[in-house]
Parts: sequence; structure tokens; C-alpha cells
Amino acid sequence: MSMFPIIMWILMVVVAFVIYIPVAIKINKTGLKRLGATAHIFTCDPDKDPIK
Amino acid sequence: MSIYLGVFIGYFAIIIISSIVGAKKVETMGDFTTGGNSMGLILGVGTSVATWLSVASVMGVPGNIYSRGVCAITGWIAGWFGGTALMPLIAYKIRRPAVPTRTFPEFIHARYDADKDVSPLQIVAAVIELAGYFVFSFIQVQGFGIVLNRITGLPFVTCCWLFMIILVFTCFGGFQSVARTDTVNAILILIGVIAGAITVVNVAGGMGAIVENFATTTAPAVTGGNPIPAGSLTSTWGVFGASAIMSTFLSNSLGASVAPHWVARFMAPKNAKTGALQMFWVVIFLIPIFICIVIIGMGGKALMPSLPEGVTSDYMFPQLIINYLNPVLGSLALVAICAAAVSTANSMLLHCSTSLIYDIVRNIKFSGGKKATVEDDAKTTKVLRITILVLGVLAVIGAIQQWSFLADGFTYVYGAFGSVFFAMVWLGLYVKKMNRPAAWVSLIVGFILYFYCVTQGAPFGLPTFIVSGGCSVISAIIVMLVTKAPPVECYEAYFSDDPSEATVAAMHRIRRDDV
Repeated sequence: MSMFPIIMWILMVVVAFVIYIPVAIKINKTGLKRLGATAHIFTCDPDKDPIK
Repeated sequence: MSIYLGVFIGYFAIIIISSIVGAKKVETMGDFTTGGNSMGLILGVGTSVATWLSVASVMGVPGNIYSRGVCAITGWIAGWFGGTALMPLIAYKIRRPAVPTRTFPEFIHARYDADKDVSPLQIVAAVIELAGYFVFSFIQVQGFGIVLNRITGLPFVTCCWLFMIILVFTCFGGFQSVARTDTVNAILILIGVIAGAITVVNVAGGMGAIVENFATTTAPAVTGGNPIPAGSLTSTWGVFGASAIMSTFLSNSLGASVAPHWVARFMAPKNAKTGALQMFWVVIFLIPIFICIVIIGMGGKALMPSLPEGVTSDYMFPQLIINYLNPVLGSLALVAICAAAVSTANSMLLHCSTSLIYDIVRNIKFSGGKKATVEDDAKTTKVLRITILVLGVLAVIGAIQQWSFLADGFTYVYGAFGSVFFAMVWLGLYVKKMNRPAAWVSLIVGFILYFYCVTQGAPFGLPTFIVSGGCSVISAIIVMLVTKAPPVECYEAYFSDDPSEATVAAMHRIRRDDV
């Protein structure tokens, strides 16, 4: 069975992670609460410190 | 039959209760259209997962894998995951302004016509959105009609009308209601497809037997059809060919990333990070669901080598449930399909009505510097609800015609959205110089070329989306380079965290806020 479709699928999951992290870091660097900069990087919980 | 009906009645009760709870949260028109820009992460993930899981994914994709092989994973599943992976980039930018827009066409107004009172681009975008989502809505109604028809034996037409009643009920509470019912639906879909996949593996004799059969079968998808070549279902490009599969992949990924309902969804979260993060979690939550869907599609071929004459492969999963699942698991799986239909169709119907009433009628009615008061917005919300009812009736009429395969219909609309809106959204959010003339040219070029490629075939065998979307982007860049830069208030809100007072005032004027 061709593994190409599975590889493409896995690749897209990896791309999702690779794209989200820089976006979250950029938001954190603004320091703006209204953008969610003070919320946790994977839960958006405002009571926890963001992972810088 | 009694177990099926009992589970369905229970499902409808859950949906009605969650709709009522959501409807009670609606106090303003902003609550109705975007949940008041205050949606949290859990609700955001729930509604986004459920919106991804339409009948195109829960019925269309297993049917496509059943009839066309594993290449459908590349075209549809990897495509949709790719689109979702890109979305945090859009979510961050869309939710960045302190005064966010409420709808996709309103974003087009803010980005390209902020210096204008009435935006022709907003109106054109609203018309395209209305047409596309109307197609989406009737596809969902069609999917539900197929399922209920299979279970109860009721006429297909009656089943479609029953669906409309549920659909309209969930939409009446606006975005909050839609988000809450979607979250419930997402959980039910997960339970349903797991039940379906476990049963299929057990009945078919394990995954080894399923894969073995898939690689060697020559049975046509429908009884009486020509036998398929052995091994074609497990080949990289299947019966489609590389161009068609990559075109489907690009339509479903790049096209979906700029689909107006997703762009609008990023206006609802409480902040930009929540908007971006919710799409990351959506990718994670969709993995087990789509693994089950793939197993169902492949396992279906082992259990039912060919479908009866006169039905499409979209009927495969419901047929499988009726024939092989015990009534308790079967009813859960059928509820999953209905939940998928409800969760997507309610969003689509909501977008249809907001395009028509909010972006076209309200936009023109309050032109000339008029501001919409709280009373005006309350009236608009009422009109939105009536419009949902009317569009629901029209969607049922469209569904009764059964115009297209479920997954194919989605691909056409996503492809069209991508061709028309790709440059406007991506260049608009990431290139300051992107301006009004470039937006118009990209829209017109994308629309004409997509229509041409779909009806006449793409030149040189290229993927359709590459031709239409690519030419749209290139034409936008050329026009952008030879024309004047846009006024500051057109882009500042999306490029600066501290925009000028003039830009903030422009955003309020575009929203017709009474401030």
C-alpha cells in the first residue's frame, strides 16, 4: 500500500505545530493582554505564566 | 428501529437544550454574529472541530476511500489538515485589531475600502459567500436526508424537511447557540466514529484482512460497474491521477484556509492567541476521528465489496451501519453523521443570513454616516432569524435535487473560495501595499479562471487551483506594484498593536457602531 497519503497527513500535523509556535511567541512578545500575551501557550489560561 | 428512534429523540433533546442555553446568552447583535468576541478555548475548539466534521468528512470521505482508494487521504484529509495548520497565521492577524470586524465581508471593507462609507467589495464578497454557503447548506441537508431515509424508510424529502426544523432551531440563537451545539456534536461524532471503526475491524477480521482485501479487490464501487484494476485502491494517485489529487489537496488546504466561515470564526475568540491556539488543538483532536473514518472506508470494501445499483458511494457508511453494526453502536454512529450535518449546516446557514442581512442590507441601510442604535441592531437580529428560516427552506429544496457527491461539492466551493479570496486574505494580512485595485483584479481573475478550469479543464493538465489561485495572486502582485499604496487606515489595524485614532474611528464607522 502506498504510504504517500499517510506521510502527507503526518506532514500536515507537523506543519500545524511548526506554524503555531512562532505565532504564539510573537503574541507573547507584544506583552499585550488583549492579544492573550499573558496567557499560557497551550491552554490560554490567564492564571498561568506563558512559556516564553 | 425503536433503539434508533430512541437514540435520535435523545439526540434532538440534547441539541434543543444546548440551543436554548446558547440563545439565552444573546443580548446584542455582536453576540448573535460572533459571540461577542469573547469565546473561550474549549468552546472554540469544540465548534471548530464540529465544523470541520461535516457530512463531507463523515460520509463523503469514507465513501471516497471506499470507491477511489487511499489517494482520497491525500486529497481530502491531508488537504483539510493542511488548511487547518495554516489558520493560526490568519487567526492572529484577524483578531489583532482592538475593534475587530464581525463578518468576513466586513473585514474586506475594513482592509480595502476603509476610506469608503459603502464598500462595493464588501457587497460582492457577501454575494459570493451567500452563494457558496448556500451550496454547503444543502449538501448537509442532503447528507442528513440520506441517513434518516436509510434508517426509518421515511421518504428522502420528508427527512430533509425534518432536518430543516432542527437546523433552524439551532441557528436561532446565533453564534453562541451554534458554538454550544457544535461542541456537543463534536463529542457525539467522536463516539460515533469510534463505535463504527471498532465494529468494522471486528467484523472484517482485523486490520490485516482489511488492508489485504483493499490491495487485491477488483469489485466495482457499485454493482454492475466495470471491475477496477487490482491494487488501484492502494496506489498513490488511485483512479484520479496526480493532477486531480493535488488539485483537490490544494483546494482543500489553501482554499479552506481563506474560506469566509473560518476567517469569520477567528473574530469570535476572546483574544488573538486563543484564536490561533484553537486551530492547533483542532488538528490534534481531528487525528483520532479521521483514523476511524479511514478504517471505516477501507473496512467497508471488505464487508460490502459493491454497493447496490442506483446509490452513490455517499451511502456506503449508512449502509454499513444498517447491515453490520448492532443497534446500539449503529445508532451512535448514525447520530454522529447527523451531528456532523447539523454542526456544519448551522454555521453555514448563519453565514448565509449574515451575508445577506448584515453585510448587504444593513451596510446599505446605514450608509451616509448613519449609526445603528441598540434598537436598530435588535431589529436586524430579528430579521437575521427570519432569513435563516427562509434560507433553510431553500436549502431543503436544493438538497432534494441531490446535485453532487458530498465531498466533491465541498471541494468545488472551497476551490472557488480559494481562487477568489486567497490573494485578498493572505496578501491583505501580510503585505501593507496590498490595495483596492489589486483586490478587485485578484477577485475577478480568480473567479473567471476557476470557472473556466472547472468547466473546460485546466491547461497543460495542471491542478485547477494552481492555475486559478496562482494567476489571481500574480495579477494582484502586478497591480499592487503599479498602483498607489492604500491609505493608512486600510491596513494599520492589522499591522500595528497601537493604531492611530483615525484607524480606530474608521473601524467603528465600518461596523456602524453608535459610539
